[in-house]
Amino acid sequence: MSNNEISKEEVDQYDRQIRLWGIEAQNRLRNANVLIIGMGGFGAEVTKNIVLAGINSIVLMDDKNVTMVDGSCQFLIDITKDIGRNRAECSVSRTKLLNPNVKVSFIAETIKNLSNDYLKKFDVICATTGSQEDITRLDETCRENGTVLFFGCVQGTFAYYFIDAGSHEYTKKTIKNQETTYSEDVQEFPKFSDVLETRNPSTLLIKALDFITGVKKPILMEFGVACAVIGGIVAQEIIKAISKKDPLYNNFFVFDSQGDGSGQFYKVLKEKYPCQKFD
Amino acid sequence: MAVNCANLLPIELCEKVKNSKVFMVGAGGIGCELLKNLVLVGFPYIEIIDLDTIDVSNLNRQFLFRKEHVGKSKAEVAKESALKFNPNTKIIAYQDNIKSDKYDVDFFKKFNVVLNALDNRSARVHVNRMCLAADIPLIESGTAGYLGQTTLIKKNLSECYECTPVSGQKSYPGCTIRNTPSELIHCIVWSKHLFNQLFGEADADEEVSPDTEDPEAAGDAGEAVQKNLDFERVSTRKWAKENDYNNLKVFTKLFHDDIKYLLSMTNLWTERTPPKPLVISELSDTQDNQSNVIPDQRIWSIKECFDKFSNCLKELKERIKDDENLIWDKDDDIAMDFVTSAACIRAHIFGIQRKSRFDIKSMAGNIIPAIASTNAIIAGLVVLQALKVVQGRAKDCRHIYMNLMPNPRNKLPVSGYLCEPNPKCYVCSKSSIAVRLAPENITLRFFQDKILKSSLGMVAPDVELDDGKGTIVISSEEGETTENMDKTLSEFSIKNGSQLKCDDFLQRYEVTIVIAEASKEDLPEDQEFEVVGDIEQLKSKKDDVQNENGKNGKNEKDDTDFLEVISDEEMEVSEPKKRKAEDDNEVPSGKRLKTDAIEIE
Repeated sequence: MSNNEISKEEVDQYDRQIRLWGIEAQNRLRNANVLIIGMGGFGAEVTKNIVLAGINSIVLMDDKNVTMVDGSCQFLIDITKDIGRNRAECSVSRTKLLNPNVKVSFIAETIKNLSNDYLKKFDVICATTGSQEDITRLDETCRENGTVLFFGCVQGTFAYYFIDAGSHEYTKKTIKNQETTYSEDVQEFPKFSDVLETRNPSTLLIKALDFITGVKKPILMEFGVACAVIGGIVAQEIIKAISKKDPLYNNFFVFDSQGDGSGQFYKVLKEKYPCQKFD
Repeated sequence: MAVNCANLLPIELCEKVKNSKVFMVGAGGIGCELLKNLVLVGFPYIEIIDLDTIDVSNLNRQFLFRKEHVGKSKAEVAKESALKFNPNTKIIAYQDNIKSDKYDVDFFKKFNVVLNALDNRSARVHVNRMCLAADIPLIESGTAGYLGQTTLIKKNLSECYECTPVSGQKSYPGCTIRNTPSELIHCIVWSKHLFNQLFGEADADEEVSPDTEDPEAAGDAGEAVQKNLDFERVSTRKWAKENDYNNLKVFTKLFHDDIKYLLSMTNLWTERTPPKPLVISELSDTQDNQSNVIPDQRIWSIKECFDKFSNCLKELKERIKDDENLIWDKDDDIAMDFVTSAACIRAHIFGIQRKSRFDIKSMAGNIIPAIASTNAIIAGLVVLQALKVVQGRAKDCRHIYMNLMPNPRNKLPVSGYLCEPNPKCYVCSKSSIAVRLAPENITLRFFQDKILKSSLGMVAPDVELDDGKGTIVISSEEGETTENMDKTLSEFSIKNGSQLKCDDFLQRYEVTIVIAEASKEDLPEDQEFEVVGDIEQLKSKKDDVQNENGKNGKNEKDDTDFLEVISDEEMEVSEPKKRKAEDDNEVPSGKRLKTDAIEIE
């Protein structure tokens, strides 16, 4: 963690957001390291939003190469030149241009090959691809390491994400009789493997879980607009997780871009899961 | 080349997208995100317009721009950056004012849909009217911090931008600003007025000297008035110039002599803490211990305020050597230092808590915080609406909000049905409104500038009398009616019940104004006119006034009247909407739930 002070240039560049979340949150962002797994349209949207916000470093990870399909949603690659090249590698230069203050690098790897030691250095990991098995293991590691894990996918026009922030400590703001007070609070999140056993009957949620468990076949395209909406929400949650301000949305989100424009959150808890009393 | 929407959207929708033309108004926070989405989805033809150039404070969210683009045209740079995402798109960029007559109704008619990504009410009003006149669907959107919204405006289908009257911008009575500030914002407004009085275009509504006509002080300032008359006659700027903007003299006049004078109006201080005049030699240099803040967030000591104030006087004096008029700008460091120091000194005098330059800049510049993520979400939702419009499913569009927390049904964003047009709206439904004024006091120039342009949002109005001859009293043709402008309405026999046909050719907007005579006493304090809206409302209004007067007598002080309108630049948000219904899958169709709209300042 670097303790260097924020510069005048940075204050000018981040002015409009410092006025929203304050200098302390901005300093936390400046020291945060994030791993993005999967550089499709969803990964690109999240990357854009958090790099603009001014985190310390970001690692872009993907083992796939650019195809024509990426042209409809992945704006960090150059679709006229990059087809056939690694998606993460191709996304580095445009990501750097978004904000020269942020350290950007890539790895062409699969989740299986990531060591616990490697994963330890991240404050937040956002996976936009991965099998049920991969994510279950990743989630165990993140819980051990105190890393906040987001896992989500855009399947065609349908999008969803899940968050496990473990025991998330944050500063709660309460306004009572026009007086603002701050207090420390903790949110408990259930594990990924527990959430998969939910008996919540919502059709949207079942659809998302079917994609995760492989009951439904993955759709190989991401609709750019769905990426924009869910990428915005996930980025906002990443910023909240890092800045430790305000509670996170707990813990499963579904957005269908063929619907009426609203998104649906679910508090998915395994039955009798001990953290229930906190919610 | 790129696959775009094929394989994901119905083929007939893709065909329609391929044959569509889109006009995007504004290339700022929402605009950058929107343009990216449009290009990626495969909209083949997009025209964009923005008058602005890129500022460094845009870079935290307007991702099509980079540091080396600062100072360049937003529209042009946005176009160049977006073309890289899909070089097959045809984008035409204008660095221009949307209100220019180049963008007339025929221009608007060539598009299938217009997308607003604006930051101010006046441009929104104009585009609203252009789209109503051209009968082109308009998708409106706005964000402020974590909050945002988008809706569809379509003639006869949904309410227009002006269907819900604005609840009025924040306003402060003149005497609060000049005599009895009780909050820091009053001191900030006073300081901005002071800047204009000293270095800019003086406005009679922006006096900074003690207000001897304060009804609260009535009767007790007799002698003092006499003493002060000498100063009142000379403009503040002239006085300062004659004294060479000497920092000691200016400071003493504003922060000692004027304060002493205010103290002589003893009625003001019977229930208030009286202000304390300042003497330069006694200024305190003590500072509270302030740690863990950036330099701009430190609160200046009073001595430091005086030093900054002196320095600003010196610098600004240099700038107006050629009798130039300066325009206050929050991003001009000296202008901002000036307002910070003057506001803090005044606050100190009146026992009001001072704030840092950082906080005062927010208040003085009315800065709306803005982040990439909210803009990205809203811009995504705008495109979903645009796709519905292009597909011929405009009625399936929704009013969609982004809030801080999911609603009780755990929805976020939240969508609600479009509201029907307001049958009383003088823009999209009705063609006449009533305006209360005193015809002998109102000149045609005032009628044109303050009523037709500022209040009713017209750009280049023509006005015709109902005198049987159709006399044109105001013409949009340059020079045609110049000789009329200084004459009063009475001189054209305009009186109670007179009807004026007002017409803006560019906006294809016509409204008949019915004059309702009102004496100064009947009008809200410090106001020369009042737009009542529809005629029935006028009738009930009159009854109210009579009842009020019957009960309380005239001249009741009303704190909400004088409008101190703070600049609305930086607003990336539409006005709050009051009448909203919530959409929800679980609610039987036809049943509407009322919900709280986002209130955005």
